[in-house]
Amino acid sequence: MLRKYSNSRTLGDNVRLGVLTAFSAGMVNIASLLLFFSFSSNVTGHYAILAAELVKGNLFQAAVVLGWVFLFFFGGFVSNMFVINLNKKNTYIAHALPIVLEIICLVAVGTYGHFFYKETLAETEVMLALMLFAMGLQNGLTASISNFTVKTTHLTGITTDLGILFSMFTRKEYRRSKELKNKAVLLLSIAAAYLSGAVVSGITYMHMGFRLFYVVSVFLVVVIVYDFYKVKLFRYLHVKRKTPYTRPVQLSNAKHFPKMQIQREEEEEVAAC
Amino acid sequence: MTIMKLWITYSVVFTCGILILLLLFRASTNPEEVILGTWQETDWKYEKGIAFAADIAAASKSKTTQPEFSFHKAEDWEFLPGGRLRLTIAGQEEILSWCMKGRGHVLQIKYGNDRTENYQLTVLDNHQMVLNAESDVQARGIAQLIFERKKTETYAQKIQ
Repeated sequence: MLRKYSNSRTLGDNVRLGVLTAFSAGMVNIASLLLFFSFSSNVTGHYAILAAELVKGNLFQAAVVLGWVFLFFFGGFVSNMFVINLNKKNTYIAHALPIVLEIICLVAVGTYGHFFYKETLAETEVMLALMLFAMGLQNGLTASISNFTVKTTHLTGITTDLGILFSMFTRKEYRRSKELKNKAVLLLSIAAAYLSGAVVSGITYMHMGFRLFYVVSVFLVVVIVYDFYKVKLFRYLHVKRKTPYTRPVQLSNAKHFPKMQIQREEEEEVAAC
Repeated sequence: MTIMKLWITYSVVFTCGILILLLLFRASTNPEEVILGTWQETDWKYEKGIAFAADIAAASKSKTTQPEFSFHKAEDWEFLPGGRLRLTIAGQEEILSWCMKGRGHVLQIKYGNDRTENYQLTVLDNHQMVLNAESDVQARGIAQLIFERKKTETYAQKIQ
């Protein structure tokens, strides 16, 4: 999910990353709406609100919203800074660090909200700011590593793309295109995961309150651990291959199996790292 | 040299952004402070008034739970620091708690029995407060509560 970059990513990589992060974003967005009466995973509405508050002369509210928009932007900025500066040294670390930061922000919100929150406006605004920064980090990372294919914190672009794709599918030549079909699968998966996350969040919020952010963090930990496990496995296989007496073993009589599969996976791993 | 220039440009842009934010905060007043004091209800306005009242009545009949909003009429609302709200209804006092949510645009009032009312703060200045009671469950209409700040006399004013 996180090791591969840009065009070396497969549909499976993008779907796995998209589904898990979109589910988390859906949960965070509804949690923030129910707990704080404000969205945290998209900023389109915040731009409109900013304009409205400026027109009404509510400078305090305008400043708050401007701060939130800035933090979403800053999340994307920080995320991509990690990706472009650390990618050559260690792809996995470069891609995992923004998720780690996001988990820290969400756990901080969950812990503070559960144990210390006194429902003052300042606390509410700071916690929302942290959530917007976390969502900016996530969106920046997924967009950056997937060559802008996967964006998981809002569905405006995805819904537009789906509209365009489905209109294209009215023509036979586009219906046959594997690339377009894959794209539709990816976008539908993201939209479904986001909606599922939002529904789950709405149902569990009444019972869990701020502990909901721990659940979201668990999903993000899965994203990190999945690849960490794969990296460890690859290293293990790589070391084993270097030992003099190990040879690929033909386990099946079927032609080219599993040698060919192993070879292809190794080539993919090398390309990714 | 180019990297240095880039760092300076980015630092200047970010610092300017943060300064603009700080200036906006300094030039404005926190709604949590503006709301403090005594407010007198002067008017109730119903959008689709009949529907609103009928829906609340229907909700209270059909469900064992209480309706989502209380009918506050001609009351004095005194917002005290520390999130306490003193309501004076027909000379009788009731202490509730209040807090603000979102960007300071939602006023949440909590009753002792776990009942919560959320109001949109449409207008809040030194003289007037307008609350929109929006219900998304049973009541289809929107009720608007209009308040005026009640001027409390100082000792100097009293002895004049």
